[in-house]
Amino acid sequence: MLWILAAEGPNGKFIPGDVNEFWWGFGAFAVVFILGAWKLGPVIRRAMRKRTETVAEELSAAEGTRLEAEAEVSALRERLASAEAERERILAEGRATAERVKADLIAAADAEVADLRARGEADLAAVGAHASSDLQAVAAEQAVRAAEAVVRENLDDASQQALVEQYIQQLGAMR
Amino acid sequence: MSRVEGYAAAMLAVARAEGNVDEVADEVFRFSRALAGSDELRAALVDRALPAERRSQIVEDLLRNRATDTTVGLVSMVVAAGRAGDLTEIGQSLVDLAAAEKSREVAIVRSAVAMSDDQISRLADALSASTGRQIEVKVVIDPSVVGGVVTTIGDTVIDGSVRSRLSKLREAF
Repeated sequence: MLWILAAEGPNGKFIPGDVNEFWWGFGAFAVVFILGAWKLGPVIRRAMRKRTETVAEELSAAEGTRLEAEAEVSALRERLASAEAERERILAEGRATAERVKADLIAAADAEVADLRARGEADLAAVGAHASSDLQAVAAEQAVRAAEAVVRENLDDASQQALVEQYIQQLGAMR
Repeated sequence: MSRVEGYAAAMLAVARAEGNVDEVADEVFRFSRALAGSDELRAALVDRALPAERRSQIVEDLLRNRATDTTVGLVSMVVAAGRAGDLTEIGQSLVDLAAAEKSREVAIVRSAVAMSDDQISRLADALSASTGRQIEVKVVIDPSVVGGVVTTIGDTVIDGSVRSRLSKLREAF
């Protein structure tokens, strides 16, 4: 296709119809290229080098950040592992304490039950003895009151005077 | 000298001046015992809310024609002074002081029934003989002894009452 286009051109070549125009254009381009390479080359290279340095610094900083993050992650993992161990230790200690408290409570409850039983038996015995004693006292009191009532009933004036006389005679006999 | 002894000594001095120590001491003692045995009378005579004149009037009404004027005046004086609560102790102290003047001791004899003068005399003789001291008997009618006699001379008690026999019976159970 290119060859067809060149054949259709003014001189059957790829260059313009006027060769001098080609060379003048080539020379002007070369001058512009050289000037550009001479003046713009260092600037472009500096910009490229600066850009390279910036990217390198950013890469270095990113690497540092990555390393720090990895260290942080590592530390977190260690702390997590430590916390897990602590959790296990606390759980074990808690279970042991619970078992000990449970055993203590059971022992105390057993002792309390035994004490209550002993006290209950003692109270029952005391109540029995007390009731017997109270019954005896009540019976005695009733008997004495009955006796007093009978005595009062039968203590007429003659009996009273006889008691006074008996008292005086007993005092007289004490000399 | 305590307040009670002070009042008793003053009453004895007045009775001595009037020449009827035994009679006044006996009457005051009897009134003091009656006062001890009557909560109602004691409450009335110790009631400071009642005017002194009213309390003295109660005493005079009770003792009129039953005691000498000296006794009525002395008891009225004690009651008006607001010392009716001490009258039982004053009566006891008065008979003790009156007996001591005659080198005698007082025996308080509690009996369920009244005793005749002969019984009192023989009891005084028996007590004098058994204690070796001259005893003057003051009889107090006390139904709580049930029967028999309880004699108190100072700290000594000679108990021949039915009450004490019943108490021993109660303790024997």
